[in-house]
Amino acid sequence: MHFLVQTVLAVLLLGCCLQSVYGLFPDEAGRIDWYRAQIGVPTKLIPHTANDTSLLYASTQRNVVAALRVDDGQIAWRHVLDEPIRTLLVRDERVLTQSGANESHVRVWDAAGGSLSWQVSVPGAGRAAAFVRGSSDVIAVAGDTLVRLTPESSSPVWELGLNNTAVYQRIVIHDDSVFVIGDAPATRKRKRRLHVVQVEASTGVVQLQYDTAEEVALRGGSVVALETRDYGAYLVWREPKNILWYVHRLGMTSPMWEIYHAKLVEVELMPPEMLSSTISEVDIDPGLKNTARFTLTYEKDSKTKTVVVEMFRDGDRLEMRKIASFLAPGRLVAAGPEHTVVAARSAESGATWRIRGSEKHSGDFVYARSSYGDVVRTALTFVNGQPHVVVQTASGLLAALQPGSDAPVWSRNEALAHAADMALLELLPPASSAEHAAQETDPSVQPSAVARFVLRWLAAARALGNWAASGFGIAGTHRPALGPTDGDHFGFRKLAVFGSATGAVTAVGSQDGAHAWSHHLAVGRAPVRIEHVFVARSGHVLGDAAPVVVAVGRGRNSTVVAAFDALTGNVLSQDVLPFVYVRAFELPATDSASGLRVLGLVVDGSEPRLAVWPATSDAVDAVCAFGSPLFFELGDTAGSTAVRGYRIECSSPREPQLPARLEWEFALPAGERLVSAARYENGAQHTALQGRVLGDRRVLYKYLNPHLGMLATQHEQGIGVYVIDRVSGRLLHSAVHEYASVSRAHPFLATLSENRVIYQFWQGLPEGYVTAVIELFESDRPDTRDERTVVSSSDLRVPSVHSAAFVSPGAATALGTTRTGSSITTRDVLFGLASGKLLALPDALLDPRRPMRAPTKDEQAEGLMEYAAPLPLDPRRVLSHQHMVAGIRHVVSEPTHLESTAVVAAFGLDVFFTRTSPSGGFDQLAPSFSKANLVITTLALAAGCLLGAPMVRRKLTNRAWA
Amino acid sequence: MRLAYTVVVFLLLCISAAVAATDALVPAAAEKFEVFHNEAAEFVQRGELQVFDDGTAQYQSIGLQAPLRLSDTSAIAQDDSYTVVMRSLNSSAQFVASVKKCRLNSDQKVEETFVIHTFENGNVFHIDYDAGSSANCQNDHTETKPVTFTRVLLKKRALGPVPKLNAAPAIDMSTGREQQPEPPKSFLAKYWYYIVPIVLLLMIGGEEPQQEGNTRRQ
Repeated sequence: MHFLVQTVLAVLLLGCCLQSVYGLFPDEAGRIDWYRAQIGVPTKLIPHTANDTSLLYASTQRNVVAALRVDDGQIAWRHVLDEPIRTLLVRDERVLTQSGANESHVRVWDAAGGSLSWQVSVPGAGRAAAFVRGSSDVIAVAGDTLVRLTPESSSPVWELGLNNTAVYQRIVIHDDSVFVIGDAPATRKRKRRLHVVQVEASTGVVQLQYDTAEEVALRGGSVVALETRDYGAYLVWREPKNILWYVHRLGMTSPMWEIYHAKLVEVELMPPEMLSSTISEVDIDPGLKNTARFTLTYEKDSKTKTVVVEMFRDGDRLEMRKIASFLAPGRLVAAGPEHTVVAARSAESGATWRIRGSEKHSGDFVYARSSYGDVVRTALTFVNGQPHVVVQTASGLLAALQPGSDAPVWSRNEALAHAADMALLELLPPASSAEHAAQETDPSVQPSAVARFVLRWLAAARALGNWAASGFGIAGTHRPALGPTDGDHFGFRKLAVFGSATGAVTAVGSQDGAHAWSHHLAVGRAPVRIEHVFVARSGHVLGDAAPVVVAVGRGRNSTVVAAFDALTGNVLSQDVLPFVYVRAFELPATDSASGLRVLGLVVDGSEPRLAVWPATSDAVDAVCAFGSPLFFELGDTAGSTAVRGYRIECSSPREPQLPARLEWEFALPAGERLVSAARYENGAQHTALQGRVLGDRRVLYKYLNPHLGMLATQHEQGIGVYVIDRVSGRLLHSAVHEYASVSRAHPFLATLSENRVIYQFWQGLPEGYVTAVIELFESDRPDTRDERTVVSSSDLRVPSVHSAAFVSPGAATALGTTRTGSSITTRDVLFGLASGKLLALPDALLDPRRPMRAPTKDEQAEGLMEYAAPLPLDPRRVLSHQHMVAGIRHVVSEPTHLESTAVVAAFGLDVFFTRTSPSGGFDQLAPSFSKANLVITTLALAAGCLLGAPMVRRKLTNRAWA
Repeated sequence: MRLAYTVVVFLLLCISAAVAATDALVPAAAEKFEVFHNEAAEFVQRGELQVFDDGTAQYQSIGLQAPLRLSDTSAIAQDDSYTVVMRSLNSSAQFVASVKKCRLNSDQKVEETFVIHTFENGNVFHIDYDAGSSANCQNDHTETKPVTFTRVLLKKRALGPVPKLNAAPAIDMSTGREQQPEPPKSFLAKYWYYIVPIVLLLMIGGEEPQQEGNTRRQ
């Protein structure tokens, strides 16, 4: 009887040990990071074939010159330049770029491999550049100088000072003549016009210069410059109040022009349409053909139509003909070799594209226009002789289409290269089959925790039965399909929602970068410049309402706030508010009707006001019902000379926009201007320890203030650093770094973490980047702390400051710190370096209390190391290992469900996600841990207990009788 | 007589030097402020604050008889705040700082603190002010007590930290390698120039007394 009871108890005990076991699937093993190389939204796309390699060349808004493979869209090569690219040309096997605002950098790249062939820099802003046909030389306009550059010398072959009354932005080369065309502004005697300088290409001698084309400008949409191989170069323009086209052969002043009527090209054109029409150039290599093409765009019956016009010579006669026409806005036409021309147009349902020429193809690229915006640029490529149309949309999507297929051959979403903000959303793990069963029974009724537990066991029993029925096959080989919106039990899988300056809101899985959804925000056709993404409602509990993310951006004189279902991307609301916000932030309130976190949008003016979103009375009441006053500050932008703090006022009756009262003003010292401001981001103020335990067991209490802020100023002597309280405006610490400076090339970066301010700046003497740390304590004396139970920013608390400076591990472009769930784990300081590395250094290395000599025993016990100025660029601490994460602008960290581990994201141009454990995986089993040994040991102990218990009992009984 | 004259001259010189040194020790005032408090909708001068170039400051209360009043105060918010204005006597600088008036609602004496932030040369660029306590805002007292004790904290803008670099190791130009430090010298090699004279002195001197002693013993 006893044995039976013991057996039952033992089985129950073992049953209690059974738990759901979560593990990795084979395809997840070793995957802790992902990386995506981006190029940015192209400003120019040029398909070209060199050495039998077809590539699509692009210059982008992120200063990247790149070549994409036309068959799969992957990057063949790319270079990230420091300055905006003004010119991109591809001829033969060479790529020409001209970049720079103050200095013109002319670079020639090998078209196939992307290696730099040669470069020359000349003073003056880059305005135009062109290859000299039949030569390696380049002719460029830099400022007001025309230069001929050659790879053989760093000095120009010749220089020619141009008449500075015109702005020269176009170079046309025909035979040995260089035509430089510039916009000459109107004078008292002359109308606005184009000025043409004809220069002998070999010598740089001016052959002719004259004015032509009155009342037109090069970028005004009313003039095109056309190049042909054999019969000259032309200007075609239309004067503002004239319906005729003027055709001028460059270099010929008699006759100055011929007249052509556009109606001969497009019969339906009437004078009203002609007067509002525009013409645009089509980039075609003049060496490939002997015709010139341009596009004519006009509106008729409220529809925009684009016509491709080809100009040719028939004997001595100038002729023009229509190649193709489409109902399409803007410049959507691309051209290939010979007579192939492609055009595409956007419709509500997607884009339609059509190829005309030697082969005729047409098709539809079906996509949701709301996801990616209008088609803004097209290019024509050929893969194995088959035409591919590359379409670029307003949000930054690049997609290659082929005849006979609706689905794109490949696509690249370049919107992430323009991401201004990102929110990481917690995801639920996929519901177990039991929970599914419960939901399927009645989705509206959620089972209780006990019911879910029982259902889960039943489902497990069913699975066990199925496994037995399948003949005990190897379990775990079937991987459930996890999508980007499926979470996991460790919190590693999150949904990253990016907001881009191109108007794109893009959601991808943080685990593998899988695309979840996209949306293109626009007001009319103008994209919204998104600056913030907030999680307005998280969906942590099964059955809760769907999580919601909110994107906030700027339209034209408006603020756009759009709410999305985070899992599906469905737009829940899109509000275009009739004001331009200056600051957006989360408020500590929830709208009771929608359950959404309330956002505050500051409307600047003589008296700033706070608009709340959702714009409901419930939301306003919720903000006003918050127990403590709410504050915000203005003027903390670059160039400012004073920062002001405001308190939100709740008047009665409530107004839709809450007034704000000036609470404090921090006027910067005379001669100083703000260059940077920083505050706690993303929960960096959270801490688990109120003090630093010293080696002698005493405690140095941290100065913890969630309202800490930092201002950096530039002045003649260097950089001023001010640590302030953002609620009271009190100055807590100030310092000056002599010989330091801030510029576009050397930005000031700062991040706040717990009681530390970490910042990097450029120091001129000795030259190099310096990382400085300010650590604030309540007192210099250990075991001394503020005994007040309630601490307010309005109470004066003067912190004790420790500071130190180190030599930076490199030029950083972004700073951050890791963040874990309870902030027990030590933090790593994250450096996004210009070299493309994401470096994580332990915060102990940046401890300002590191002694300048060998540490004493107490200091060793505290974990202090001897001071060493250089912060090491330890390859073992480079989270991005072999990846070059170009253009890092943001480093973000989010906790997982494991205290040891944080998700880290770095984005700017490229995107990189990884996980890191700053203190090691102390809450995870090591890979070498043997679960089998644990089970065997437990079973052996249980068996020993079962066997030994009767013997012990018998022995006790015998002892009692003895 | 000559000795007495010399002593007198020496003493006079010492006194003059001491007076000169005392004068030199008196710090010069870098900036002087009139401190106004808002009382009953007007700003009344309650004290003077001097900041010295040696990094010290001094606050001096002004008597209540016929104090100065600030004339143009329309731009200064006075609603539920207790505001102080510090007007520089050296320049046109004026600093305004305030706390909630309820912080002064106390049945005990009220203290105020000025935190004066100065440049390296002692010039003031920012002032923080604190008076009373935020706990007083939860009190039942509604009467605002006058400030009875003033504390001044002076905070000079610090020179920011710089990396403390070790000296670069010396390179042997002939080999291109880092020069090794010289091996430590022995005690004798280090201090021979002290030891040798002492030994010489001991060897040369000290003969005569010994002879005298020998004579006596005889």
